[in-house]
Parts: sequence; C-alpha cells; structure tokens
Amino acid sequence: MAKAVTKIQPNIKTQEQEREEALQDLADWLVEHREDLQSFLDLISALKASGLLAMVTALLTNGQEIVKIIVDQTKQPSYAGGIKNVIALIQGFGALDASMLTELMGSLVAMSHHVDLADSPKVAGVWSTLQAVRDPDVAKGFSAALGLMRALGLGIRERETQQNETP
Amino acid sequence: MHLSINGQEVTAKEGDSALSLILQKQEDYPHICHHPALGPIETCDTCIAEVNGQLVRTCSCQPKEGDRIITDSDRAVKARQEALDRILKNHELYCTVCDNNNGNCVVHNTAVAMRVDHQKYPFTKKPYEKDFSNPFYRYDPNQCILCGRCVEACQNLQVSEVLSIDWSRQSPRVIWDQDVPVNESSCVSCGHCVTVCPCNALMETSMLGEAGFMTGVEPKLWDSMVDLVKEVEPGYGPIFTVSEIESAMREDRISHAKTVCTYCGVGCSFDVWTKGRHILKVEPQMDAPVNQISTCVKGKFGWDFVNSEERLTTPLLRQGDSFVPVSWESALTYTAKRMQEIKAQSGPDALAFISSSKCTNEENYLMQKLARAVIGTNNIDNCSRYCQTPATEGLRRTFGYGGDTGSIEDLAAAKLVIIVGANPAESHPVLSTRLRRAKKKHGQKLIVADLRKNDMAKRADLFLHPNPGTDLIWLSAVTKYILDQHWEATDFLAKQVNGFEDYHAFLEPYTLDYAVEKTGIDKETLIATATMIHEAKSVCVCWAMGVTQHVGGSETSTAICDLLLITGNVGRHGTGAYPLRGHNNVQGAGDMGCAPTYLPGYERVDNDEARTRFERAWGVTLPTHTGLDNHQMVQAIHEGDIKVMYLFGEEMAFVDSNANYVQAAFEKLEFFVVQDIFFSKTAQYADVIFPAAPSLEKEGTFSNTERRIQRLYQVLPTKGDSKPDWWIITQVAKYLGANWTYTKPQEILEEMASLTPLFAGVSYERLEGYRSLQWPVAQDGTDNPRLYFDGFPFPDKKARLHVPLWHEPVTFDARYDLHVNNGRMLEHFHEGNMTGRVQGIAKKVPHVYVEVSPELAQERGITTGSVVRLTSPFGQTTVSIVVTDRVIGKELYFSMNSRDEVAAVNYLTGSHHDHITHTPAYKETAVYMDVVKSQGEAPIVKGNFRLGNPNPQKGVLVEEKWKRTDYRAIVDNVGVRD
Repeated sequence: MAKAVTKIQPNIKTQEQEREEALQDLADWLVEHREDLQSFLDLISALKASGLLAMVTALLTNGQEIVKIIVDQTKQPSYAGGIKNVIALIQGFGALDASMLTELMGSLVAMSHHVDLADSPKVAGVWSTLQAVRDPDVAKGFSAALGLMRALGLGIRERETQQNETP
Repeated sequence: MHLSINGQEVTAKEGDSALSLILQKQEDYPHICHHPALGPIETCDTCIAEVNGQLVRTCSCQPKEGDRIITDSDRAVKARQEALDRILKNHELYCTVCDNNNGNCVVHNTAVAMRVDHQKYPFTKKPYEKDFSNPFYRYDPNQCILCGRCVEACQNLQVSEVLSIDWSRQSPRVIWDQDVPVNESSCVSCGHCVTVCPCNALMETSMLGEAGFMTGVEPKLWDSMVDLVKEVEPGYGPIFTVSEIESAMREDRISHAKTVCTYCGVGCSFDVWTKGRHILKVEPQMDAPVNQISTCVKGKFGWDFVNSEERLTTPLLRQGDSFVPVSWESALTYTAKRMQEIKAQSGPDALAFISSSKCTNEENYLMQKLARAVIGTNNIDNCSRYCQTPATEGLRRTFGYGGDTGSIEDLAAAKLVIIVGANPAESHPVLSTRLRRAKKKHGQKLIVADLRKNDMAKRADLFLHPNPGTDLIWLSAVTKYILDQHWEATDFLAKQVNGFEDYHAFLEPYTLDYAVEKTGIDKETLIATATMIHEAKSVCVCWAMGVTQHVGGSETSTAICDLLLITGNVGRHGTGAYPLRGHNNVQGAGDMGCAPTYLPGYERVDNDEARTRFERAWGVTLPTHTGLDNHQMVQAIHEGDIKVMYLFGEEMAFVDSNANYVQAAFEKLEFFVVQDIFFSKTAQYADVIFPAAPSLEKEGTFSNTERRIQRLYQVLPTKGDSKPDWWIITQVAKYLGANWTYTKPQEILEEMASLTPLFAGVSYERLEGYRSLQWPVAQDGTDNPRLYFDGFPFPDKKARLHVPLWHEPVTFDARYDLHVNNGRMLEHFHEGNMTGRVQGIAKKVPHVYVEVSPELAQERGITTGSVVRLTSPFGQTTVSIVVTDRVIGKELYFSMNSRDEVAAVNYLTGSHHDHITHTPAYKETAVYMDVVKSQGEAPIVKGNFRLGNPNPQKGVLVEEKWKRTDYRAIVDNVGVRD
C-alpha cells in the first residue's frame, strides 16, 4: 500500500563498505608481490639518491610543456633539415640496387687487402701517369673508376629526362 | 562476361562496375569518394584507370565483354596520384595526432597505399571556422576534401536533404540548409554524414581528444606537432609508420562490441567503441542486416544515459517516506517472503507480472516462466497491448501469423506504399529512409492517410485526412470500389482465399458517398487511391497507432488485411502488411509468451498438447485458465483482486492511458516490485526496487518488426551493483524455491528454442556477429524473411477474408471540443527516461509541447509559447504550445515524450479500449482548453530541426565542380553522369 515516494537515501554505508573492500584488496596484493615491490623500492631509492628521480618527476609533471619545447626545437629548419636528410638518406639506402652494392662492396673489400700506400706508383706528370696505367692492376682500377663514372652519368641523365616529362 | 584487368582474365556480371572488379584483385585500390551504400559519386578521381586505352573513373564505368582494364600503366598511376594530390591540397595529414586514425580512415589508408611522399599542392587553409554548434558532431572545413559522401548520404540515403556543397564559391565547402550553422538547420542529427566521412572533417564530438594517445594534448602543443609533420617533407613514409604504430596502439584502449539498438522496433545494429566507460562512438557496419550504415539520432548519439549519475546502482527498500539502499540478499529475501505470504493468503492469481518490451527475449521468457511455473498464474502481459496487439489480431484472423509479412527490403521494393496512421519519419527513422530513397531514386509511389501533415505526408503523391477514427470506412469504401471496377485479384482469391461471399456482402453499404460523408475525404481522392492501388504491381501497407489505438483498432487492422487480400498483395515480393512495432523487443515480448493467453510461440495456455510440453520440461503443473491483461490488471487492483505486481522495464505510470487511474491503482497494491535502470515514476510506488542493466551492459537477443532475431553483445560492465534483468529474475525464482541454474543467457535461449516449434532452429551460433534469423525458424536453421509464399498457416492453407465490425469512436460531451492526437517525436523515446538523460538530446528538445493549428490559435488568441490547460473527463494537464500547420482545425497533437508531472498526455486519456484486445483508445481523447498564459517562452528551441529549411538536391552535383574554371579534367572524356 504505497503512495508515490520521491526520496532516495544516499548510499553512504555502501561507500564505506567499498572503501574497506578496496583497502583489503590492496593489502592482499601487497603481500603477494612483496619481493617485486621491495626490488622496485630499492630502485626508487637509488634514483632518488642520484638525483635522477627528481629530474624525471619534473619532466613528467611538466610533460606537455617539455614535449612542446622539444617539438618546437625540432621543427626549426636546422633540425628539421637534419631530420629530412636522415629520412632522405634512409630512403636512399632503400632504393639502392642491393646486388650491385654487394658486388661493389666485395671489390672494395678486396681492395682493402691490397692497399699499401707506401708502395703507390710514383707519378710526377702526364708522362709518368700514362706509364703508370701500363700496370695491369692500375689499368683495371682506372677502368672500374671510369665505369662508375659512366653509371653516374647515365643515372643523372635518366633523372633529368624523367623530370622534364613530369606534368 | 569476360574481360581483362592488367592482362589477367576476369569474369564479370552485367552491371558490375570496373571498380568492383578491380577491388576483387586488389583490395587497397584507391576509391576515396565511393561508398558501397551510396554508389559512385565521382568527385575524388582517385579510382581512375585505363579502360580500352581511355582514362576513366572506374567507379562509374560499367565494362562490357572484351574490355581491357589497365590500372598499372604510367598514365593511370600518374592520374591517380594527381587526384590524390588535389585531395591533399584540402587536407592536412597529421594522422598521428588525429582522432580519426583508427585504422579505418579512408584518406589515411589511401595515402599509405599510394605511397604518398610529399604534397604536390601545399595545403591551403580555408576561410571558415570549425562548426561546433551541434552537440553531437562537428564539421572542420579545413580538413574537408569535398568528396561529397556526406551530401550523397543526406540527400539520397537519409533523404533529409540538408547538406549540399556550394561549388560556386572560391573555396567550396559543405553547407547545411541554405548555409546556416549546423544546429540551426533542419539537420536531424541522424549521423549518416559523420559515419560516411572518409576523414576527420566530420567527427563525433565524443571522439575528439579521446581516441588517440596524443590527440588530447592542449592546442598549442598539438599545433606544434602538426607543424613538425609539415616541416619534415619529403618523407611521409616514416611519419606514416609512426601513425600506423599509434593507430595499432589504440587497439589496446579502444574496445569494439556489437549491439542492437535499444530504442525503436526497426532493430538497427552497430558496433560501439568504448574507452573504459566512455562511449567513443557508434560505428554502423555494412554487414548490419537491417540498417547497414544508417542510424538515427537516438541510435547514433543517444547512449550517454548509460553513464548517468541517476542510474540505480543498489537495490532499494521502501522505509517510511524514503527508499533505503540495501543488499541484494535483503531485497530478494524480503521480496520472496512477501510474495509467498500473499500467494498463500489469496492464491496465485492475486499476483500479476508486467514484462518489458525493452528487455531481451531471454529475459521475457524468464518472466513468463516465473509467473507460470513458480507462482502459478497466467497474469502476465507487456506493453504491446498499448500499441500493436490489434494489428496482431487483424493479421492472425486473415493471414495467420501475427507478424510483419516481409522485410524492410520489400518495403523498399514495393511499387506503392500506403502509410496509415503512422509517422515513420519520426518513429521508425531508418525504415523511413528506405521509403524516401525508394521514392526519390526509383519512383516509388506513396499514399499517406493521417491527421497530421507529417514528413512522409509532405512527400506523398496522395494525402488523405480522414476524420479521426474513420479509417475503416474509407478503407472499406476503396475496397468496394476496387471490386465494383473488377480490379480484384480473381485468380489469387479463387485459389488462396476463403470468405469472399460474406466479405463482399459486408462491403455493400460502404459506397463512396457514404465514405465522403463519414470521413470527410472527397470522392476524387478515394477514387485516386483505388486507382493507384490497382495500377501498382506491388503494394505494401504500413500502419501504427493511428489505426490501432482506437476502440475499433483490431477491426481497422482487419480491414487493411482484407484490402491486401482482395488486391492480391500478399505472398509476393514487395507486398504485404507491416504494422510497425514500436519498441526494440516488443515483438520478442509477444513471441516469448508474455501475454495472458499465450505460451512462448503463440500456443494457447489452454492448448493441452502445448501446455503439457512445457509442463514436462519445467517439471510443474501449469494453470489452464487464461490470465488478465494489463488493462484488466489495473481494474483488478482497484477491485482488490490483485495485490502484488512485479514489473520490469516499463514506465506504466506514464505510458498507460488514464494515468490518474493507473497511479491510484499502484497506491492500492500490497506489494509492488519495480525493476528498472532509473528511478522512474512507476518506481516511486514500489516497495522494492531492483537496479537493472541496460542493453549495453548485458547480452541477449532482440526481435524487431521484421520478426528478425539479432544478438547483442556486452559492451560495458554493469554500473555499481546493478545486474542484468535475467540474473535478477533468476534470483527471485531461486529465493522463491525454484531450482533455476541459468548462468548465461545462451542457456535460456536454448531452453526456449527446444520447447517452441516457431523458434526451433534459433541458436547463438546461428546468430553470431551480424547474422540474424527471421521466424519461423526450422530446426535446421532455415528462416523466413518473407511469409506466405507457400500458402497460409491455416488447415487448408488458405487466407481468410474476415468481416470487420464497425465501432463508433468514443463520443464526448460537447464542451470537450478539441481532439487530442498523441504520439512520438524523433528525438525522444517514450517518456524520455533514457533520452532525457542524454545531454545533447535534452538540449535540442528540452520540453514537450502541444501542436496547435494556425486557425485555432487565432481563434483562441494564443501563439507559440502560450501556456494552456487542457482538461478531459479523466484529468488535466498544463503545457506550452507551438503553432504549426502540421495540424488542422480543432485537432491538437500532444507528444507522449514527457516525464513531467504536469505536462503528460496520459492524464487526459481515458480507459476506453479496443473491444477485442483492450488496447487503450489513446487516439480517442477530447479536451477543452483554458489559456493560462497568452505570452511565454517558446518551448521549441534553437537546435530543433523543425525550425530549419531543407535544401533538396539531386545529389552532390559533381557536374558543377567539373564546370569550375580551376578544374582540369584528368579523365579523357568529361562525360555527363546519368
């Protein structure tokens, strides 16, 4: 038998109960992870002693402002340029022909075994240079250098043509 | 058909687009503006390829036999790159700090797939501010790529026709209406535009600053981050990698779960994204069987009530003049004790149960099992009695099954749709989008019969305004005219229908003249109606409360079914009867037997074979006499026969008719248990209140108006100590001594399916994900999207023409001179316990109001904002008014969406009811009006879409873009779209 009732008592009791339950859960967890927690606290002690803890706390507390500083600095042309270059370099590496690079590196490695700067062919002028080329090893090296230059030239001319074609 | 893509042979069907064929081979082929629900839009140009040597847009290209499609030629690749460059001119790529970077951003994914390295055209800011006026979403013109998906969706899918792109400007942008702020336009906040936006130009406000790890940083830092990204060109690659990583990280904190909407009977389903308890957004999926990516304001944006501070979170016990929180154990013990006491004293029929059309099938099944098997009474009912039981009655008499004949697809495919006494644009929004689209794009014809010039009425080819309560007369007159013209479906009638002679005789007095006299509809309109029905190859009739909430509701529903039989509009694709179910699971509540005369599956309680089946399974003897329906229950409480009520998920104190009478009954109950998610008006009368969980906090199944059963998954944990209804009912049963062991809803459904032939093949596996089943479902899982293709469920497999009886609508004393029509509004659901607690909705529609015609307003000297007192023989209410030509003459419209003590329409409605089903005749209400205040604040506020002015367009009008002087065609032939 009931008239409409519009009041609901607030749930204070249950809030207290909740707090008790939460504290109990926390206590249980602490006991279970006692050793992990002790190690962690040792680490914190060490960080505090060295002064690092204070620094990290400050960094995180002022998080957004600090990140903004870093970002603002980074987008300066000098830094941004550096990042651009790194990106360009990484992308360039990706585009190099791997098999050709292996071959080239192979030859350079072989070369490194034979370098004896003290024993370089003596060159004083045009005539002695021409005479040095008679040495089959020097001739081979010279051809290779020319080969590289031809490849470079081809590449440059190829790109020039491509750029002219783009709308 | 055979053709080739990049040299590879491909088989295709007539009508396949080149894009769809390419996508089969290459999933990430670009196509930014194309959307499967919208079709080709042709604004982005990113799908261009060579077809037979010509550059074309593959989305709108339908290849023929032998065509050669090349996507990887230099020309084609460059064309697409140019297209994307042009798009990026309109869009800053700051993906890592963008709230839309969740793996499904189309612009981001396309840029990654096309390996964009730098922007050829640098981004230029546009001269417009972000529009934050609408509480649910915001538009950022600076990010808008002008793809027009939103415009297409608004113009041709939702068909509210609000959005367009103004191509004539220097800087085009999307505009609302004729270019007003979003919140001042006719935007209904359905969410289509936000859902289809391929980038972050249109975003849900609930996502902003929440979705990403870095998107919530303060503005200055965020701006700096965006600048950094721009500085490090060339080289988007690594930046994209970072954004891809960040996007993947989001999976850790963003959960996705599928649910079925808790609001109306259309049964939309979608994914809900949450971060902890914060609802990030509702993301509809193309896989959803009913709605695909369509939603309405409630389904897309109406979920914040789940986190409301006002949610009930502990059981409550009445003590003196307040409710006191108690433990579950105390509440359940006390409940069981009181129920057993009163049952012992006064018998099981002194207890009554009200089930919830908002709750799952499983929960409804348990409630009727509790009533029948544990208490021993058939006194159980649900709110379908307030609305569609008369329609169910009409269907069962004539066709055999009490459910919609087909699916929404049939409604969309019909050549003619007739809507009687329904306002689907506001009550079944997504369903109405299919009708509007069918009309706009495919020439579907529409006839609307209603008291109000509602949205669909404005678009109708023919609008009928009958005198209130006279639908049976004009329907019968039209049927008679059809027969007189020999337009009936003779073959069908001869082979598949009984009862023609009697029905034909009944129709004799329903001449056109008689109809004109009684209904006020003119002869030409009646003849035109009959002619349109005759000329249409397929006809569907939709109806709702305008038909059923009358003393003759069952009879008028019968007349509609008779008309469909006479014209052969049953048992064929695109035909049938569609009483539109109101609640998300009112179909299910009836299906599960929450009615005084039916067991689950619509077998009668006094059917020995059926009852014995349940008795054996449940291990009890079941009562054989039918119980009381909710209308009779209220009477019985007043007479002292019913002493206990257990009600869940129903605001009966406000939604039943004659609220004063119902509330007085509640006061007389000796013991009243109310189970709800909020402290409703009904709960104020309770002795015990159980805190329940809404749909997002539990799993189960709902059945929509198409008889379609769909699964909902748990999205959020329960709040506080609230519990899912199935758990609560199980506990109550246990405390009453029953041996119920359910641990999850699946077990409940399995038990139900094993006992009910109509749902024999229903199982959680078959309903997994977005799969669904439309009953009847056979043991092997075969379901029935369409009924009656194989005869009717009667012994001789023939349908029955049933003679309807005319019932004169209730008459009132002459001084009650105004008619009060009542019903729904788009933004709120029922009395607003849920939607009223969604901030954005409450802001847009803070007050309920009565619509008054200009003629009447002038006569009475009132205007928008006036406050009036309406008095009926049953009660009184004071409410603000709005003057509008949606209503005519002395007909008022009072929406039911109010929890206000003073302004609730059911204080005016009486206890007259449909003579067969006892559905209250809400629509037969009359009042007289006193003016309380002639000047006042307008109850219709800025943000209400009814104040806007739609801007109908054919679509995004991409031809206007192509005509611009700054547009250079990339395709070879700038063709005209068809």
